[in-house]
Amino acid sequence: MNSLRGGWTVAVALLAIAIALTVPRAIASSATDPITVKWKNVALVHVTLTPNYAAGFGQIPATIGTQPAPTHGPDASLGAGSVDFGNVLAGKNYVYRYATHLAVTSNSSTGLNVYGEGAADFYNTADSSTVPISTTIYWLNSSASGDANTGFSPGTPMQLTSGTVVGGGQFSAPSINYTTYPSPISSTALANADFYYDYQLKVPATATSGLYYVWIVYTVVSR
Amino acid sequence: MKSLRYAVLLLGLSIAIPVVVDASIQQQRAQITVTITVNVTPAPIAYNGSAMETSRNGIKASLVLNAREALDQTFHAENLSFVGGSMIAQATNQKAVKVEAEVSPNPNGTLLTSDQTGVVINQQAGTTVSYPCIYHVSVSTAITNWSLDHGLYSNFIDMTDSTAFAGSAMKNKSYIATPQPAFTPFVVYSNGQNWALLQANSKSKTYCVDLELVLPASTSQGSYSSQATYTLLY
Repeated sequence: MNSLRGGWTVAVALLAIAIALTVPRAIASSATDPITVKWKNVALVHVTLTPNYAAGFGQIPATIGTQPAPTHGPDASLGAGSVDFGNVLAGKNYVYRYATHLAVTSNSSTGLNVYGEGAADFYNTADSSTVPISTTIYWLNSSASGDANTGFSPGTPMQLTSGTVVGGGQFSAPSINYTTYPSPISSTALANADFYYDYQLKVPATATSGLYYVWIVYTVVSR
Repeated sequence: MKSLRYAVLLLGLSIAIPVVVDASIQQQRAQITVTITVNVTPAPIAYNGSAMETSRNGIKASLVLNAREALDQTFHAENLSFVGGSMIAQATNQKAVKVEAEVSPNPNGTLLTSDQTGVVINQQAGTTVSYPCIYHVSVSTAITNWSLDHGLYSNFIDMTDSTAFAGSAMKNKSYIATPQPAFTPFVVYSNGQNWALLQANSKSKTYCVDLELVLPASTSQGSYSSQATYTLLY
């Protein structure tokens, strides 16, 4: 009897050992299941913006025929400053030649889209009134030199952004956060490109006197 | 006697000639523009179905789903993480420039005005749409004999790719009161045409301008603009 009990004891012990050795292997096999990791490479895009980018920059009143010499306000200088129309009259139109140059470099294999929008409406610092930017400021394609745009050339209205404007003021540039991009103002299949823009200013006849300003924000992304 | 006759003749000519000249020569006194922007959406793709089979009745095609079809791809759960709703532009791909201007009153600013500096039209290619009284043009003066010329400065051009459609596709009828004139195409100055006379009139008047755009179906999608130009002469 004792020998029979001893035999059962050994059998149970062996079974326990066998189970103990088996279970960890089952856990180890489930711990080695493959996990899929995915990521998306975003193209690197670098933009350099140069205002008043060529000699002959400045505003010209809308004129048919021989164009007057360009002039500009005190905050504009060659290759720097703001696009400063200087003194303008209510109810008159102007073109600003060689206003903005965007030099874009990237590693995009699909090309680039350029978005250009106003961060706000045209704001009068004298009385805090505003004039809609879409009926006041227009943009036109220009060139590195030999700009022939006039105040009568067809221009596209500059739109007020629907993105989230962050920061900014009369003397500090804002940024815009987008959840959805608007329609691009320019597009290219190239990774590196230059974009040149003139502006037109159409001052409403009802605009009050004062110093007006607005920030135009350009965003360039891979297509 | 003869010399007196000549003197009288000379005096008469010196009076008559300036009067004749003043009546025929008018000078440009003011000129304004209204930018017309046309956002073109493409014409719908027409369905050109094949000829209908009429020799048989009933369903011509059938679809049977195989309940025992095995998927050729299994799906795995992935570890996903979600960032905030805003796509933050990289600092190096966004730049800003300030535009500024010092606005002063215009002593001649009320002579010729419009209630709009620009108007925007959204239209599908291949359609003809009218836009009643889309803007006004006003002359404010005590002059009793003036002329108002008008036209488009250029054809409609898309700045993004330089495609264009003819300015004459845009017609207008400009009127003070009924009866209204018929729609007539704008002349296009940059095509070598002269400004057309809208009307000769006197004192202060305001014109309602209706536009009708006959947009060819071949017009590609884009945003096109031109400038309607009004010139006051007296």
